[in-house]
Amino acid sequence: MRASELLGRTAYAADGTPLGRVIDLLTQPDTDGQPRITHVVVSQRVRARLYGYEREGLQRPWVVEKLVSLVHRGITEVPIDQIHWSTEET
Amino acid sequence: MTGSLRIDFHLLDRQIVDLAGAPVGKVDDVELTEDGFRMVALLSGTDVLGRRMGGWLGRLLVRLAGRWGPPEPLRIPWQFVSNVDSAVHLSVRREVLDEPKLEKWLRDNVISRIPGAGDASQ
Amino acid sequence: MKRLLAVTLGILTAIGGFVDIGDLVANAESGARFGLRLAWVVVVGVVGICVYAEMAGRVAAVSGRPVFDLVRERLGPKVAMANLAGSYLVTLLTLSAEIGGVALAVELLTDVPYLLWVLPAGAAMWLVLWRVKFETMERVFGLAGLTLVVFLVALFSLHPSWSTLAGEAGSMPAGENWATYAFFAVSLFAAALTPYEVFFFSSGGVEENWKPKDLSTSRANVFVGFPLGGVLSLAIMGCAAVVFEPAGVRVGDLSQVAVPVGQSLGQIGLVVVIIGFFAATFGAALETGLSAGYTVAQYFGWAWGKLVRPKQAARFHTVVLLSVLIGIALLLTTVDPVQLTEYSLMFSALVLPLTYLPILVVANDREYLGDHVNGRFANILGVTYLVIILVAAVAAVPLMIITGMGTS
Repeated sequence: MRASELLGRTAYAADGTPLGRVIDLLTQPDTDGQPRITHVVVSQRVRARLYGYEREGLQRPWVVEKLVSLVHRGITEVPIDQIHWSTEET
Repeated sequence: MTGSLRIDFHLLDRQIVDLAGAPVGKVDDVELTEDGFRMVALLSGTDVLGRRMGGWLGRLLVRLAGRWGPPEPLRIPWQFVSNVDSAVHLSVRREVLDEPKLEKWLRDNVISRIPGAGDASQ
Repeated sequence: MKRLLAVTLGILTAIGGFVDIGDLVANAESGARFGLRLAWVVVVGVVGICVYAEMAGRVAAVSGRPVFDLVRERLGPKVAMANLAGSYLVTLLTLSAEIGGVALAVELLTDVPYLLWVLPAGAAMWLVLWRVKFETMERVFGLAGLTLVVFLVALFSLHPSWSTLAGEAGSMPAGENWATYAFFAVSLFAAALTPYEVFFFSSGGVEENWKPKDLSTSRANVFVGFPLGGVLSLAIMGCAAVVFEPAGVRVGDLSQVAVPVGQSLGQIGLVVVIIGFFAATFGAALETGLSAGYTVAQYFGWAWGKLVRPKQAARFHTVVLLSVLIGIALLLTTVDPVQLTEYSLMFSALVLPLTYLPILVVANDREYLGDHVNGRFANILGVTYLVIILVAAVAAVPLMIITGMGTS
């Protein structure tokens, strides 16, 4: 499976409500060092990569920040085990 | 390896450089395990990029990539990645990896035929 | 002298941005039609390119990444492909025009028609790209292009009436209107900020292996090179203003651009100016030729540049070679080289926002630059110019249509 097959898909909660489109996949190193996907970043609106959303330690020009926050409303990180990829329960 | 990594932000479309800093390609896609939970390898190549992009542009890229026979995407196992900052740094030299077909073809058939192609860096 | 040699990358980049074949004619044309009323646009352009080239140079020095890497990384592959298509087209058209410019300069010297010089000029410029060391190329053509300073000498020898020129400020010359004025303003501004300048400058910085300790070198290149380019631009504009404006003569080709120098400095001046034309257009051809390769290679992640053996960067060199061949072929269709740049200029105004926005964003990213991120001042200037760039991008095509490329 490739990451591009997950990105852009619609993710659903356990009860079938749509959470939004997948715009990123967060990983943490596993016990053997291999990165494991822990969270899925979903967005209700359009995706844009320019900033990397809520990364720490970013400074941004005020005007661009305001524009970006307009675009980036409705972004959440959801633990991967809570994601369902279709409306049917797996 | 660095801690938390975002696949789209930190990896996709980033330049891959080898141990010596030479460009290897872009991260055009990332290979995951079948259940989709773990990252296994980086993928690079026009065919890979085309499939990811989709649309008419993606299909065009896939067709171009397949012009000289079946495409051979570059697959870099995650173990070869040493660091991710402004580029994805590998712990190996690029000679260890497969050479892209187009580069090889152009090198053998076009560039090598021009005098001076093998000369030391200019 | 050693200090001067350290900033030749900036000078050569600036030559491509301020005194290439398109600008040589455009600056003279604005001087002839508008006097010095458009001089402020050149100044605004110089500040703009300084702001962004400094950021691009800083990113190259601290992270080792050239601009087009950032474009794909931040805008994503699809939008970046649109940028690539636009930037490559603009760069290719300009490359073609510069080869034409070299041919035109040789025609001025020899009276042999320029079309016969197109193939030799293209071959010569490609050979230089193939064989000559990057540093040598940069130094020779950076310094040789400075012979255009003869325009400054000529300007003062013409004893212009500065008060008259300045006094023209509030009025519009006869035969012109706000649309043609705006068209020239956008042209001159887009010329000062053409994307291939930042592609070339940042790639050159990576070729020169800049590290964080080279930040002052990068800045020196920016703050010496581009203002120098602007001064040369203004000198050409001023000469044309003094000689052509009172007579109401329009400038259309390269030979006319040289007239003020011939008038004030005689035969010797003419020879120097033709050498200057040759050096500047040749230098600009090198810059655009390499940039054509840089953009494509940096989008796809290929090895690029002159610092590796050509055999190690076959795809990059193939793109450069193909671009030169297409450029030569385009010229042989007898299209006017100067017109080529006028069209490419206006299209470049459309590509500008997609090029400069990623630079501004990355220059603020601590994961990329650590402590070397933009300060307040750089951001204020950066955002301001991004707005100006957007305005220029939106206005470009309508103005082209309304004024028929500036003719009415």
